[in-house]
Amino acid sequence: MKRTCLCCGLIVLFFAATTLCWPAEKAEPGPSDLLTLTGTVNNSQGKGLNDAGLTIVVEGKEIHRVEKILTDEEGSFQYRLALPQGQLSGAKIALEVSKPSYKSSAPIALKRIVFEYKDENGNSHYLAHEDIVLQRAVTAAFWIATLVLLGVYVLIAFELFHRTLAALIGAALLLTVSYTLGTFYPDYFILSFEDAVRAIDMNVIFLLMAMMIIVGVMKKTGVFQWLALKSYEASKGNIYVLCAILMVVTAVISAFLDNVTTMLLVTPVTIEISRALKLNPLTLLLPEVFASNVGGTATLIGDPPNIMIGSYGGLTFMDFVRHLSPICFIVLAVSVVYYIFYFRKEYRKSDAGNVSEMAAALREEYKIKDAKLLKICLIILGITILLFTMHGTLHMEPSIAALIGAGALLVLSGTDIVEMLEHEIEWPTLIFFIMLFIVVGGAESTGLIQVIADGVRDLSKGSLVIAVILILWVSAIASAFIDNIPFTATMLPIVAYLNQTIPGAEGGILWWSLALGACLGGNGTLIGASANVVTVGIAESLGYPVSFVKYMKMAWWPMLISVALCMVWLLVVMM
Amino acid sequence: MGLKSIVCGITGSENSQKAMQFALDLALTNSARLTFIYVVDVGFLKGITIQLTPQYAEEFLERLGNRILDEAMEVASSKGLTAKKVVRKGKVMEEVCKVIKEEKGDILVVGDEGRSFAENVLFGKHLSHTVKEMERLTGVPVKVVR
Repeated sequence: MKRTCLCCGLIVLFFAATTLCWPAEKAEPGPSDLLTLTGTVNNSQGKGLNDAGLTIVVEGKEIHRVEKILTDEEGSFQYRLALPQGQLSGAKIALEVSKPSYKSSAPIALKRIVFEYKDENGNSHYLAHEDIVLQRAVTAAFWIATLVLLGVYVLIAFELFHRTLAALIGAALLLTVSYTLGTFYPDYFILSFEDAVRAIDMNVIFLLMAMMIIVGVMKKTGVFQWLALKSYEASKGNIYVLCAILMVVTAVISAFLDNVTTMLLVTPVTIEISRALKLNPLTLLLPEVFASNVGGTATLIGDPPNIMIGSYGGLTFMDFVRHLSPICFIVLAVSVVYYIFYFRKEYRKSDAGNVSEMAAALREEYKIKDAKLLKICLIILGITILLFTMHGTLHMEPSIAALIGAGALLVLSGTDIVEMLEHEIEWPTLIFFIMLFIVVGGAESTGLIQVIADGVRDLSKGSLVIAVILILWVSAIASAFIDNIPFTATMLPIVAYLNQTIPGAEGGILWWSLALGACLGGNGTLIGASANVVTVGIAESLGYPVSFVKYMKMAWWPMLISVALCMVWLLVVMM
Repeated sequence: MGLKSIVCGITGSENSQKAMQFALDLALTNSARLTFIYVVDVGFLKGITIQLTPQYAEEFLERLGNRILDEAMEVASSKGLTAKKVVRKGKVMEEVCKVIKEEKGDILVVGDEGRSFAENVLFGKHLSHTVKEMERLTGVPVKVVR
């Protein structure tokens, strides 16, 4: 009781002290006229600039304020300027605007100051509005952000560090420079902590995390491996049919799970089937991984670049289905024919043997392990996909649909959330995305992205056809050799800018060029997509290595064919 | 001096199967103990976006590795030899070295998995370097069967 009284007393004392110590707001000295000043600060593309600092100059003298006048997130500002009565009328008032990485504006005189009314105290009220455009400046921050972005690419490409560490170092470096040198010299200011946090696309992070949970629960049912085994049984020993069914099954699974996960799920049973058929597993694994990358391209959730593009471009699940699924189906059909023809000699040598006997031997291993859990998973997955299809109508971010699915699945399956978070969530991947967004945010904030975007626009000469072709093929070739996640992250603001500046691009066709190029280009080489690396890694660790050149021989041409088909799709059907 | 303990690293490759045959013959000739080893190394997953944890890959590679070793054991048994199988998780070279020490191995037999010159430059060491390093670490000769 005493302790409670003591606590209450201390709280009362604290409030009394703070009330006494708090500086009283200064009353406006005497009667004053008021000018309500509103406006926006934009870059040359019309995008609002946040945190731009404004200085008001009256009759050549700066008005000093205790707090800085800063633009809000949309680049808007509003300020009420009070001057002694009579001084506002006919006064020369100007604005100066500055922001790191932009040229500070010369004093901009307010052209129109409109008289609004006179209040009961005789104070006159005026209104003024000014829209200001700031031009980019190439500062030290620009070069630092460029070097950091390139450095992160190099560290990832040559695996000098784990890619999460590479991105983390990059993000930390940008913020360190901003809050050390940048504090004293604005030219070194790259991005604020608030901007860094804003650059992180939490929709992508939550969507990835939720899908990890859904897959983590679903894998316990054994349904994916069971599907692969069923493909084997359905083929009735016909290796050509088996190849086609496996490719289609892999593509369909991959449309809803990420490609690496899909390959990890179907590879073991594929290897077992191949060994049973006395076939080199690579002759089935390579078509599968190709199909996996194609299937992943078809939906918003199938491949990380699509998740990023969908979130950044505000595209819905159904947008992806409408614009990408048909062409992915065509590409899949063509690649099935290509691979059956390519591996025909190996397939001919295989020993089909007794299918039912072999299947029986594998059935015990690859059976449905938990039928009850599978039912729950399928119902929840169905609801989640339904929510995905409706998220545009509901104005719901796709990550929310996935989180609802993940939450419901955890509750209904009775899975331990702590165990799930500890063992099934790939935290390094999520941290990688977070840090990568910050690094790209730095490049965007300092103007590097705009420089690249201007280059692409100039190269395309403002032609949408050239821009579509350029983005598609550059993305495809780049993704064949470098990680498509940082590439896509860099391309997002570039494409967003081109959508605004190239006539006819408002429909978003360039998003589809980027998605098709970045996702399908990865098929071209062994290192082009994570799914390729993982599949080859598994095959190699079981004694079936494939060389970089050999892989390219098998995958480069079908990749080029698939991108060429996409080009036709984009230019003929979608334009 | 005859060999008392032979360790044979196995995968599903053709050369690995040849290595197994070689190790079997060597064990029979020397009346030596034979240990087959398969190492689950999921290093290739490093830094890759994945909705499943590396443990999942480890589990199925362990299962497939066991299956490959079981087949080798059957071949050994058909020749009247009782071999031992060991499946380990970790880095291949480190784990093989550990097993050689544990089994007091006198020789390591492996198959040549084959890599081109370009890949050795791009992705890592040449087999001969690996063999030399392994010989240095374990102190036993390494026989690579092609």
